[in-house]
Amino acid sequence: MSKKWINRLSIPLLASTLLVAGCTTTEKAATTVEKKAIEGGTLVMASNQEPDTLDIQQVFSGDEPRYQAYEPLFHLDHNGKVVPGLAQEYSVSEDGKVWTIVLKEGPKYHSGAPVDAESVAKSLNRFRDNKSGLYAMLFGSFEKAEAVDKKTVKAYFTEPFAPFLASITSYWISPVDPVVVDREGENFKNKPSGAGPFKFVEQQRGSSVTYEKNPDYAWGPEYSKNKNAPHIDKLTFRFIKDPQTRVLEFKKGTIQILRDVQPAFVKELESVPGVTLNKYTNAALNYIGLNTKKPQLSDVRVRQAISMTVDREEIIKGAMEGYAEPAYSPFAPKVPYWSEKVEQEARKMYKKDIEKSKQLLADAGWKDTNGNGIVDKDGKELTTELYIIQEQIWERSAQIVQSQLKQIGIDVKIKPADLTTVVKQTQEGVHDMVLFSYGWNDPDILYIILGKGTKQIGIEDAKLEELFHKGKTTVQPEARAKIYEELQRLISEQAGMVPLNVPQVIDAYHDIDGYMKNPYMFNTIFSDIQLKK
Amino acid sequence: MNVQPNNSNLATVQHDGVAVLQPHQPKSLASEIFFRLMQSRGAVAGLLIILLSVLMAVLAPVLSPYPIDQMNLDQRLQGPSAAHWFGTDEFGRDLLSRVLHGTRISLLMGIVSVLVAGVIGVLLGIVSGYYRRLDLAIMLVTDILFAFPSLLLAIAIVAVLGVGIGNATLAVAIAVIPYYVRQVRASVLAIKEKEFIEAVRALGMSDAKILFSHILPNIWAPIIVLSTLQFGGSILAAAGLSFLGLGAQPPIPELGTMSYVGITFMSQAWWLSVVPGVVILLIVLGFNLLGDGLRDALDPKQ
Amino acid sequence: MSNYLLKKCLSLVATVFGVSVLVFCMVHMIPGDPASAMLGQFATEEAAQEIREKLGLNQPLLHQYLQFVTHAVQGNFGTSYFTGLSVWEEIVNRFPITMQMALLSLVISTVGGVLLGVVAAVKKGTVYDFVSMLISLIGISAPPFWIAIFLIWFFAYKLSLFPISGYNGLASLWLPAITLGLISASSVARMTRSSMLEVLNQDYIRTARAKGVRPSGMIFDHALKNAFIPVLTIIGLQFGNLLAGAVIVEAVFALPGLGTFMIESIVKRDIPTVQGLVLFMTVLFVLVNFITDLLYGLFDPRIKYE
Repeated sequence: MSKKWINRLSIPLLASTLLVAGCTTTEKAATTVEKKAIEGGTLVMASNQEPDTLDIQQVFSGDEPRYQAYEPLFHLDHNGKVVPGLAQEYSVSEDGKVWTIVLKEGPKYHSGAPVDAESVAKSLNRFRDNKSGLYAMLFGSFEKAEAVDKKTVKAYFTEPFAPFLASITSYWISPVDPVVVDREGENFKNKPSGAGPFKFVEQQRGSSVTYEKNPDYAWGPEYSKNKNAPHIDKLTFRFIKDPQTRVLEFKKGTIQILRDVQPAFVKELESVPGVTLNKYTNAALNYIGLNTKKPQLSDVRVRQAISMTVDREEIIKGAMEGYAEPAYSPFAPKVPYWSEKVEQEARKMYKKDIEKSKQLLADAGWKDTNGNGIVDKDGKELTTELYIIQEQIWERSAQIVQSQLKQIGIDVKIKPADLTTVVKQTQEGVHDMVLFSYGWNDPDILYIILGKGTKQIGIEDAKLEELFHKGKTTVQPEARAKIYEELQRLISEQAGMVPLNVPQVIDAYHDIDGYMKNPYMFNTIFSDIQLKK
Repeated sequence: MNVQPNNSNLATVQHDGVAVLQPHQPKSLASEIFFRLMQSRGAVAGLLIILLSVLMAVLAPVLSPYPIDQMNLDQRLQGPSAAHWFGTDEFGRDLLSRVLHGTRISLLMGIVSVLVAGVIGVLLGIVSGYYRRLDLAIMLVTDILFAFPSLLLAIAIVAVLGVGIGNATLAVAIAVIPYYVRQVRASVLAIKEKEFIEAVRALGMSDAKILFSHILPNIWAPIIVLSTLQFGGSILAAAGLSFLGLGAQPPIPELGTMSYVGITFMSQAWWLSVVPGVVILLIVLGFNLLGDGLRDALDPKQ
Repeated sequence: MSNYLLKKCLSLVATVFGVSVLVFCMVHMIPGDPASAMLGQFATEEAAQEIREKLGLNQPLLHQYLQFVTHAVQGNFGTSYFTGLSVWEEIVNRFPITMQMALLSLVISTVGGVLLGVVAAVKKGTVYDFVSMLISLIGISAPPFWIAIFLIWFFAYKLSLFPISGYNGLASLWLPAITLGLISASSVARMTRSSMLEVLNQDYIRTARAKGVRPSGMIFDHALKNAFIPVLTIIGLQFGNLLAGAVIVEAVFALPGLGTFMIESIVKRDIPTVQGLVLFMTVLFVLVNFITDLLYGLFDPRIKYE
């Protein structure tokens, strides 16, 4: 008897409740009460990637969540100029093999120990001993570091290493707390400690990393407003892999800052009241890597034809919702020694021209002899496999490139795989083409892509090798600029790399004041931020 | 299996001018089953849905108003209109054309998975149940495959072989094989008991004859039901793999991939995700309805 | 009985061993290696080689397998290549989350599914039957990630009844559990319905009815008990599906459970973690099936363990 009642009433009752509830939405409406900036509170930021280790010297993934306990030796300000961090000045010897770094008076590690030359030298040597993956890029021919007196450290190299400047202006070479290192040994990565504006609190694997403010902090960089301890009490990074979920949490208000917003979500976020979007570029550049060792790509004319056919504007529109700037030269504008001149030359040289591309292919012997839409030569068709990392931006860019190259008769098959697989396969030279991105505050990083013996592009050119070597070992900026201008020109002419665009990174935030991002440091200035309640 | 004539359907027959009620005479086993199938509204609905999908799939090249890879970046993310009945996707490609081709792909994936799994599974089941050789080994392998939740198994296979539509189909097929093996083996064992197969064998009847005249006629019914139901399951599994990025890769218009990629554009163009998703839903629903109907129609007890 | 148990135990052990070999082979067949994963795009070959040496990846495969197995049997799954933490510890930390969610889903699925199925069977042919079966048909036909996203959007975002993502104790597991439970309940409902119908149509039930015995008493005493055996099979199978479905659900809800752990480890080629995890999960799955088999005895003493 009672069952009948329940059956009869429950369904319509449930349905109407949901309907009513759904209509009276609890979406965040624009409040008429102005929110005010407060002191204290917990700031939550959503991140995609959880760091494997919080030891800053083990250079794996997960940048911002790893930086907060550390302070670098120098900073780059918003114009890319070197400004003091824990150190106040540097100089390089005549022969380029000795760097002298003079530290500031006053900064202390979280353990209370002073940031002195002894600890900094120890820190640099520890990085050398760890030999992490980016060692060649960051330390090159580093030999050892020594404390000369309380405030002065000397770093010795076996041959000049100009890129060291980019290293000491990055978080990765931040000094680590010697007391904690000695005490924890291997376990340091679970109890990170440096001289940064925040102290490590806890890490919940798979969920979040939390920091609290360092009340003794008083050595913030000159480009930040608040050079003392942060306004907020706690800083939490939450790791949410699914982009849709991240956006929902942000809209609901449980997260104040959303970084690396995918272009497709921008419109949606722009329409939410109270949300601000910050768009900026950094040193990253998206490009197509062409494997010149493969027969169909070994002729430079074929490669140049590809560069002339790829419509960069279309890719920006279709794959990145317009949030990128086209690039024709192999450096992003924010990379030191980027040459405006070469960029203009490249723009002229590779201006989109389908007819000219087809002519170039024909000159190289590729014609469509059987009328099937794909050019061929000596009985072989021009087919290529484009390797990409399985992420939306690459998948979309690849599809557009595929349809564009079809216009000149080049067949492209898209081969997506995860990052690790793509990295391994391109290092082995299995691919024909690959869509990649690279970026760093020093042009020497290109050596990893184009150097002798590398297989991603596989060009063997004595002049290229010579320029790279000269660029790495020339410390003097004007001389370096000349070398890199020549290098950019040469790379552009060889068309082993087809630059596509400089992507805009987009961050979204609400309910906070004082948000500032430093694209050169790949970091947000958290000490300036105040929550609004 | 004995199929009883359906006594509740009587027909009138003229006999020497006098109307006599005659019991309904079945013309053949197939038509009898078909007749009973038609009695179930669900099965009829399912069959209609399936026929419609097959029609769409087969005629996809003819019915599609645009090529599936034709990009038109000025007309991205547009809603349904006269020019594009289902709107356009993030590249300006026509969604209707892509969904039509997607139906074809999903159905093909389902067919291939079920076929591959079915053939291998039935063979193994017969070897295991009838010949009894390798029975222990086959059952062990089957148990191991069953021990892996099927999605994990599919993920593992795709991780090794690489992503893509072919490997995903293979992965799904491999995950389905154990179901066939178990079902066929159980049926064969049951038949052996009932029809004194051992005795007949001892009397000299050839294996082939036994298989064809005794075993097969009795196991095909559950196999058909299993296949129909696994069809839907395979299509869903393929969609699940696409969600994890392991299935068919863009620009291939597989319905699961399209539905997943479309989620990113949910706020701007919800139809990109919903339409392919609904089509998957309907196709799988159709097969489930048909499968249920077949199971009822083939069941001797009802 | 003990003979049956012994055979079952042996096959269990054999299965687990077989799984260990399968896992090991698969993990080592995945293209790319941990060194590439660790170093990323800007690595050099020498650095990669150094790492491979350190991790013992250059040793012969058989040697590596034996090491894996002998350690595993002692409960030592090694340490992660990336975090340096003990794999066993990581599994133990994340296991409760996945387990709680799976159990919660199982409860929702069983209660919901059985109720729906019983209602549909008892009210066969009425609108309740039709609606119940329609709901369950949709439940097993719709793409799971769709259901998850829709539920989040509606119940967590619009209605704010639950948190959207992340793990914050039991409360944050409800929505994920409901997602999984709904899909699973659909299968259970269908099975319960057909099973109940079979039983209800049997002669002895009809006789009792004809004699005037009250239907509700009969339903819950005889019919349900007898119908429950095939339903139990389905529930046992559902557990495996729930563990697998957990992978998708955990990804969408950002839960730090075994599912997301598995995917991350595969992506990073963290071999010890993947091996340990898969072994752990399949042993769990096999154990659950084992227990389900044993539970048959509770519901039907007629089943002899031949």
